[in-house]
Order: sequence, then structure tokens, then C-alpha cells
Amino acid sequence: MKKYLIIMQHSPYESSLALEGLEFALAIAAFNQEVSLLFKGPGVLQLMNNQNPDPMMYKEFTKAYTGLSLFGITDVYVCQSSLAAYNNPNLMLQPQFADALQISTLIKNHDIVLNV
Amino acid sequence: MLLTVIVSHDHLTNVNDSLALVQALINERHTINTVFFLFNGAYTANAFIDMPTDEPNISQLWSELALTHQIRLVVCSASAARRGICVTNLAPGFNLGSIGELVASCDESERVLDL
Repeated sequence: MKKYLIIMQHSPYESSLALEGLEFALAIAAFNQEVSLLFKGPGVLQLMNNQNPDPMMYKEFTKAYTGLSLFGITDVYVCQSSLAAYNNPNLMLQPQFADALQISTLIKNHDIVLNV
Repeated sequence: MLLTVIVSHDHLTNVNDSLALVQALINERHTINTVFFLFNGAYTANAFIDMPTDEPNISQLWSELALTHQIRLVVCSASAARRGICVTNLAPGFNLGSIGELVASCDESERVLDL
């Protein structure tokens, strides 16, 4: 079993990549791998509370993030400075906050680092 | 060294870079377990890509590389379906596969490169 760090960097509705990243993370976790998530840059917007996208156009897939522990994903990190850049919005879960040094430690501590 | 390579950008982004890197790894006698095409990387597997004659056809170059060096190219089937890539337009040398295959390949490999 290897430790995966998946770095989410896309805002939730700019393209399907944020949704695909989530599905990818859940799929890897389903194969009993250890998965941690790091939200960085516009990716932090995926965790914003009360998103209310147009239901005709977009599925509010980000609600799934509140149930990550059901998939065995308990290590969720958010880049502190990215969050500050978006005026520290309310988040739908309580992640661990990471500064640049902690992010570099995170990357070092995982076997496989994937950017989405 | 046994490697898994993940390509998640489309065939028009960073044209040639990923391919050149994989070629260089082969030249340095590393073994490529599998190259995975994920997300927008799935576009690369479209056999109908038809580039102007003075531009490289990345899809075709990957196919040639795979056939010359017996490298397994796997396109994530979920990514492929979203982008209109299916068995009927899959370029030679590419295979449709699952995340399970990616996990298995990463598990065997010493290093995973995400391009």
C-alpha cells in the first residue's frame, strides 16, 4: 500500500476537472490506498460552504467532501495562504491548515504526489 | 528503475515535453511500467487527431514510441468517456483501462512521475 497525496488546484465549476479529481481520489481510496488531499490555489474554493451552483447546469458535487471519512480519507489539508487570498471563506469541513513549509513536508511524506 | 508515468494534460499542451521526457528515460535505460493518460490526457488517444503537416502529431508519436519500445499506454476509461474517446477511435498502442490498473502499476513502480 502506498501513500497518495492528491493536490486539488481547480476551482469547482471552471471545468469538469475538480469533479474528476474528486472521483479519482475516491477511486484510489476504494483500492485501499492511503489518500490525503491538499487544496491549493483556486482549489480551496471547492470546500466553500453554500455554493449554490445553477442546478440545471452543475451538480453540487462538492457536498461529497463532507463524507470523505466514509471513503477512509481523513487527512484533508488546505493551503493557508491560498485560503487567505480568497478572504478566508467558511469551509464545509474542518481541514488541517498548512503553510509552505508544512506543504513541503507533506510532499516528502507521501510516496506518490498527483496534481489535479 | 521501474517507473509509472501519468500524463494529465492534453496533446496540445506542453507539446512534446512529456514525450521527450519518456524518450529520455528510455534512453537512460529506465523501464516504463505504464504510461497513464488521465483527465485531459485522454484526448491524446484520439486516432482522428489530424495535425497540420508542419506540426508534430503527438498522438501518433506516442503510438510509435509504444510500439517501438513495447510500452503499455493506458487511457483512464472514465476520462476517455467524457472526451469522446472509445474503442472505435482509440489510436494504435493505446488501451482503455481503470484506476485499478493505475494503482497496481504505481504499487509496482519505484517512482511515479506526474506530468
